[in-house]
Amino acid sequence: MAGARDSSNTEARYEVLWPLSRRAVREAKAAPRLPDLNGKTVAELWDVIFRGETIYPLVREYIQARFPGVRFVGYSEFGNFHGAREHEVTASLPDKLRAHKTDAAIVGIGA
Amino acid sequence: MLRAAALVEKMGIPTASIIGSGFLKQADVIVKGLGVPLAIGVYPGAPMVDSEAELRRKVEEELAPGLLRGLTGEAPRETGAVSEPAPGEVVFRGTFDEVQEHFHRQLWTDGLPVVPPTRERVDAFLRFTDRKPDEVLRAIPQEGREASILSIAVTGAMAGCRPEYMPVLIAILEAMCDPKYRVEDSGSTPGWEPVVIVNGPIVKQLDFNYGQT
Repeated sequence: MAGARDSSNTEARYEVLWPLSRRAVREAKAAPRLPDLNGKTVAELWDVIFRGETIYPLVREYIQARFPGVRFVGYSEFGNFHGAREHEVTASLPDKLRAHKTDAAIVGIGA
Repeated sequence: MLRAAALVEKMGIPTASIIGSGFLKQADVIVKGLGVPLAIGVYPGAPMVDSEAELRRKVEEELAPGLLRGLTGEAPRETGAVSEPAPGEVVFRGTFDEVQEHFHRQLWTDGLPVVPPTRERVDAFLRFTDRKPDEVLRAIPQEGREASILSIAVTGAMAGCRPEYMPVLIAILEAMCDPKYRVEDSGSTPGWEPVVIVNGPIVKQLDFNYGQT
């Protein structure tokens, strides 16, 4: 095995290369948060798994109890972005989000 | 699903994502690869196995408050781009065991022993291709890093391949980098593992262990 040897020790020592490669993603900052959701529109994006049909209405109920003026756009408006049509559905999201004048989004479900 | 969240967040729209508690480590890794910090609301356990009452309780007590904090509270912390070595740079010197320990602590292995990727060994791999070491095949989505000829050589060395396997390793990466392969979906909940079948005269040329005596 090739490698530099330490003269004070018979055990081989190795100079090893960095095993990773360059990052290819441009870092971005998180979007500004919205302290008050009254008057805002929240989009629901769901990958149609893990009981979202039960979870999303409960989340909606919880948030509406605290921000009665919030408006939700249901997940059926955006389609399933998981699976074979992921690229197609994902590509359509920006236009749909703009069309609904979306201010925030809840995305799920990874479990 | 975090890819969709990252897309929305990069549009300037704040998001909060629903993640089961068993997948938080996976989410952490994926978020780093996406290059934008994401707010997470945690569902304790897995929703598929909970009763209706238990699910409601977990949503009301844990998940929904977390999602609301994600949308209205402080913005999630930056993923913290740190200065990194250059590809091909020597990053550690040590004995075989010290190399194993260092790589393990850096999460550069999957826990199994590795062959120390010395420059001499990596160069031996590169001699079996006429492609330039800095040629990039694709940015691999999971970690948002480039798959390059050099990274193939380093990884092949670490995995214990023989240098003459390099053309096969490049072919494997080319297949995995094909968008039809959907490498970004590997590691999903149902799970799948790639199987590589090497066929043809190269099997004999590379002296693979095959057939029967």
